[in-house]
Amino acid sequence: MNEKYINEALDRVDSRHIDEALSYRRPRLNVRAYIAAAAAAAVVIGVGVFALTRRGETTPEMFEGGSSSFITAGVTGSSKQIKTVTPQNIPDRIIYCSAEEIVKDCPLIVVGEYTGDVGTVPSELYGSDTVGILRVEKVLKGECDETLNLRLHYTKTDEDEISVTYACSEDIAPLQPGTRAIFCLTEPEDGSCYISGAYSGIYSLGDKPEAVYTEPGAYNKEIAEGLKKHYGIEQ
Amino acid sequence: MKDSEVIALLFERSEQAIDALRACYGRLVRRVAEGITHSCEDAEEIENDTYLAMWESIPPERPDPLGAYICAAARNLSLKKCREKYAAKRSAELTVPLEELDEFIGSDELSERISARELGEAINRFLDGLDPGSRALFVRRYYLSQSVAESAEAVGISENNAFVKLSRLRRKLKKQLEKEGYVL
Repeated sequence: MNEKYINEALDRVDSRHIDEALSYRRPRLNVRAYIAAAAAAAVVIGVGVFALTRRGETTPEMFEGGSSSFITAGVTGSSKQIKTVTPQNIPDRIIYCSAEEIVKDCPLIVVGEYTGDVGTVPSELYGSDTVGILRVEKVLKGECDETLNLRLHYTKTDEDEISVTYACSEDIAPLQPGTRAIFCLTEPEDGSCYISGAYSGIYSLGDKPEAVYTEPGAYNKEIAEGLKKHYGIEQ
Repeated sequence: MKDSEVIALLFERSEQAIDALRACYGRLVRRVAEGITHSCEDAEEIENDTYLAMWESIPPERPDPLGAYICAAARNLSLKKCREKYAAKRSAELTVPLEELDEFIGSDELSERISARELGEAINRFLDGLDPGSRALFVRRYYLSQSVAESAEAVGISENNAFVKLSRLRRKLKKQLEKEGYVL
């Protein structure tokens, strides 16, 4: 075998291909199905979702009494049943309507990689949270350790069902291990934090379409502009 | 920092060059090493050895692109480490992917016609034309010498599917080389 020759040729493989291969995760969401699922969630939630899209508005009245429903999420290759749970007495909740607002308001913004779920913890407000590890690659705003415990508003109840403890369309897809993105986070407490504004605080890295929940690169530019404008931070 | 600036630091024999290499390529080097050795400890050791290899080889070398060069160093050190550590068993596993490629592109005729460097560039052009999933599968199997099962899992497909895909990719690479005028 011409092992040396092939090895030497492979040594020329571009590092961007290697980087991509090491980061690659099969996209879980079919965009069309995702939009359909998001629309379905919006119908389920009703007009209250519009209140959520306005920054700073509180939402207790819309969740009074609580409710739950099932929708089918657009997971590529299968239909996964997602149970959305809207618990009672939800506290004040902020959903941001622009990346610029998030940049201004979030105490911590990092580029990082979600390495996967590690378990669940009881949550006073939401019943239980899934906890996963976020490996911080670069801190864009604020200060934090190299790894953070990320608390997420969903619990996998079994293979095919995910109980989401926030009735927000962005919540329907659990974070996939290997997701690299810009994470806008709440102030860490004992090493744990939440993604700001549910999943509206995750922004894609422009050249990593597998890491996104929206259009590839859709908000990256906006975040970059916000960071530069307000804090003089270049990504 | 640009590659040319890192190389300039190495030529000046400045110790800042190591910090610059770590900042620019540290993460990638570790991941290449981890991808091959499956050991964080080994990856850390290989990362340091890779910087040492860069320090010793530049100058006189002036690699372009630096990324491929440093990844290749990390890859070769990782493969060497695996061979030493796991002796025969793992060594055989590491050779199988190359044998698969050899079947298609390893002919003596080809090596006489084009240099390894040219073949490497042709492989890059081939990879440029693939979708990200296929590219990841090819790179994991043939660059990182991962098992088919492992490569398949990483890209989210079944092992059988990966076997079929890899076979198609090898055929496609062969066709492309033929199209570019390299008789196999």
